Amino acid sequence: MTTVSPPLNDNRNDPRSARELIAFCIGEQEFCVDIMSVREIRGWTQATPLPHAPSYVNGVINLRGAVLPIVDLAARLGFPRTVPTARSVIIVVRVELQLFGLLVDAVSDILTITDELLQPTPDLASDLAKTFVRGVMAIEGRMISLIATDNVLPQFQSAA
Amino acid sequence: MDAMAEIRQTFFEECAEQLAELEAGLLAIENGEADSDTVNAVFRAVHSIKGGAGAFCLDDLVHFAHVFETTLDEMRTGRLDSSEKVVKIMLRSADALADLVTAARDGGTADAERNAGLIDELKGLVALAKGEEPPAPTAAASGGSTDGPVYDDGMGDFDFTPVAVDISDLMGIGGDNKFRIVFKPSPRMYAKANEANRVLRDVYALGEAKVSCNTSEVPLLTAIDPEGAYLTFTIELSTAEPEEKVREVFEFVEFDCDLSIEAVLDEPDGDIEADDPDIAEILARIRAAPDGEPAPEPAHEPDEEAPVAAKASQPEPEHAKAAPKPAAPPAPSAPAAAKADAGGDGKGGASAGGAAQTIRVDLERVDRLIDLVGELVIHQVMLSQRAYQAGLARASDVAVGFDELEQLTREIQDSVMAIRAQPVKSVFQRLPRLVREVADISGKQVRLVTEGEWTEVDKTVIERLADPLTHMIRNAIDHGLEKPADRLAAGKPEEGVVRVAAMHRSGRIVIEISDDGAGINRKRVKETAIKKGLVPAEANLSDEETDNLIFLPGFSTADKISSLSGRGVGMDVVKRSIQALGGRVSITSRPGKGSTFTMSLPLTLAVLDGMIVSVGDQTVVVPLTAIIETLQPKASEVKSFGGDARLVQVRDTFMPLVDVARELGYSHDLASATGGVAILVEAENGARSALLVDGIQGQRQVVIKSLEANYGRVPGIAAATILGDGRVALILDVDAVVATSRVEGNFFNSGMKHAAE
Repeated sequence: MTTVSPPLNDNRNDPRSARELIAFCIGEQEFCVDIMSVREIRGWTQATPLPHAPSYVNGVINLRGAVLPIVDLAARLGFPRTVPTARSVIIVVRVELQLFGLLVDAVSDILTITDELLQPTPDLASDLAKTFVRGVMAIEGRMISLIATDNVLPQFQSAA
Repeated sequence: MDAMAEIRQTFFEECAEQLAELEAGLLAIENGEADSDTVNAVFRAVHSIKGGAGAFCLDDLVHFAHVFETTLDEMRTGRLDSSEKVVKIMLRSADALADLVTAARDGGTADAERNAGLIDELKGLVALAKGEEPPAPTAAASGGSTDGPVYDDGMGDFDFTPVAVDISDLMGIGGDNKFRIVFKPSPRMYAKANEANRVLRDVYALGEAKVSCNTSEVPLLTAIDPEGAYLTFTIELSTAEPEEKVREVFEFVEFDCDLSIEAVLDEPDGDIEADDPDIAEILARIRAAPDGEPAPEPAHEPDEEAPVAAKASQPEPEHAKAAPKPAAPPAPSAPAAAKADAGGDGKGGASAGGAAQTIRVDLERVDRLIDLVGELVIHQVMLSQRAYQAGLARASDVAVGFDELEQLTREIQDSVMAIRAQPVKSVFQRLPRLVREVADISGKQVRLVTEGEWTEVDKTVIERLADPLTHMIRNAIDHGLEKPADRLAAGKPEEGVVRVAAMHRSGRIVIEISDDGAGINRKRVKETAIKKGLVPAEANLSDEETDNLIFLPGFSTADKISSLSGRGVGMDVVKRSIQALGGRVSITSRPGKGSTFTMSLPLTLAVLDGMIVSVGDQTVVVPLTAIIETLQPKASEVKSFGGDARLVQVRDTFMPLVDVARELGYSHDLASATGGVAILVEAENGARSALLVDGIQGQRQVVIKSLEANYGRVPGIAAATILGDGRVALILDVDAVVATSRVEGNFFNSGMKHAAE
């Protein structure tokens, strides 16, 4: 576990300034999501494809009786589609009342950071990345992008 | 919700039950099936509503209930015959009472004018009853004064004595009949929230009574059982009433006390050495006791007992109303009570001891339990499959254990599903009123016969059953039955019969609505359909096909739109709403004999009977309700029809062949028609198509899982399910798949095909 912001104890005791993030890899890049939105992390199982779904939706899996859609985060961010292997990981996140899984290559770290460390998304980033990347941070020489999970799932019109 | 609102809600829930009981009772009386229990149950129902309403200061309701109760009391005491006219007024009063309850709950207003009229009619009945039997002023007063002070009493009276009448007014009217009554309450009587004091008061109301109380059995304070009963009352009664009237007073407590009522001939002091040695002994003991205590004294004992009795809180209406609903004691029989309907306790005190114990449970909790059990079943299947795959011998101990586990989980699943099941009675009991109203408006005489009202089905199905059922009954009366004059001319009784029957049949519930009317006028139906362009004029339709024309959208045979039918809801809507429930509806009709509509519905919406099919390398579930037949098309039967469109010939009709894999985007190439299986399906609009799939794996019941909760609606997919291997399988939305496969409405789907059933 990498602790970045000294003094460590103060941050731990003050939840307002500290937040914990789960970092993971997609190809060569590292991303992270707020640990509060993560419900569980599990291994890859074969998903049932959904008809007429966007290309970044792998399909649905059975999560203890619930039907869980899986989003290929790489494809969602505009990278080539992930080819799931037995070592791929599904991060189950919750946005409001919806549960869904993010397909990533591996979970790499749990970070405790303060908001000052978070830098705004650089202008260079593509429009697509900007939609999902809330900010970047430099940690031990690595660049980690914070993903906002809100818009990851395709939006459905409520009437649909 | 604050406590008061909660109690209020409970009150209205119970009102609904009481109203149902009231109506059921009145109908039994109407059919001549009534015994004294029925009349009492009816009386109690109104009484309980009045009592509860008093607590909430619902003055209109209290007033109406009071007048109603008074009239019922006349019936209870036998002074008012349950003639047809009387029962009709009472039924209408029951409707009015229901409206008042609704108005009180939802804050609306009831039809004051009608209620006033009914009150007058009810009072008229009371007057009639009194007029017929002049020498009964006392008894009539005990429950009979229609308004004025008694009504005021009823209002403020929180112990819900029907009428708190000043006893002194009622005393002193002696009569020729003299009785000696020995009344020894048992602890059971108090436990049922009956009170000796009230019984005694009722005895006073009959005439001149002298009560003495034998306290000799009362033990020392240390030995006293707070819930015990130790007192014996001896009553010397002089009354104008016959013995039955006296016995009636004890009717409610008869089985919970030692009671002897003996007519005393002429000698006021009675014959102490009476024939009955027991009485003699008791009387001797009474003598031994210090002077018979005056009447009000016995009140002491009931006072002591009352709180205990209230805690015991049997489902006696009086107490159920006084106290907030007892917080469902965790009865040991709770699992056993699973079959009992969730909202149906308080069957009334008619059989206080025998009534099934029920608890009220939040529906969400039950649904959560059902979900969990569904998962348990899936995991159990997965686990045993994996165990066998891992090379476990079928005869090993572990395998035996798995078998037992499987049985157990199935049993749990059935029991849990049964919790949601309710008798269709809750829908059926609304029907009599509907029939009355429709019969009134249409000027027809209708008798409703219901059968199988205890048939159980899932609560959601019940809720969604009410509308189509209502419409079909309205239809049966409005269109099915003839006018009385026409019926007589046809040699039938004036009164038409509408029969509604529910039954279980091969894992589904079947509801039949039949009338003994004229049957479907096929000639007119066909003419209408041709006129509206629903079928070609030259169409040659079988009788069955003609009958089914009435389910076509835009069809209505009514010459003019009456206030009943023609509310913009046709039989097509009925059919659609039944199909939305996974059900089917069919019709049979015989000219001059009547028509029968049969609807068949799944017992629950949580599971679905499906055919498991392979589409590409995916597994898909097709709802069995949509499937008519399956076949393997031969090359000669498949016709290309321009572009990618293909038709398949089934006997002598052609229907479009829908390539499911392609529609779902699982494959882009046209599947070979001859290598697969064609499933003939009927869409909601009656159009038939053939779905082409790669193979059929089997048929089984699947648990329906929502896709929308975590994802959203997927075109062509109705829902998802989880198969035994733990994978998610999609449930096909047959209508959507068929619809999207057609770029535009085409001519295979003509009215002709609509009609084919």
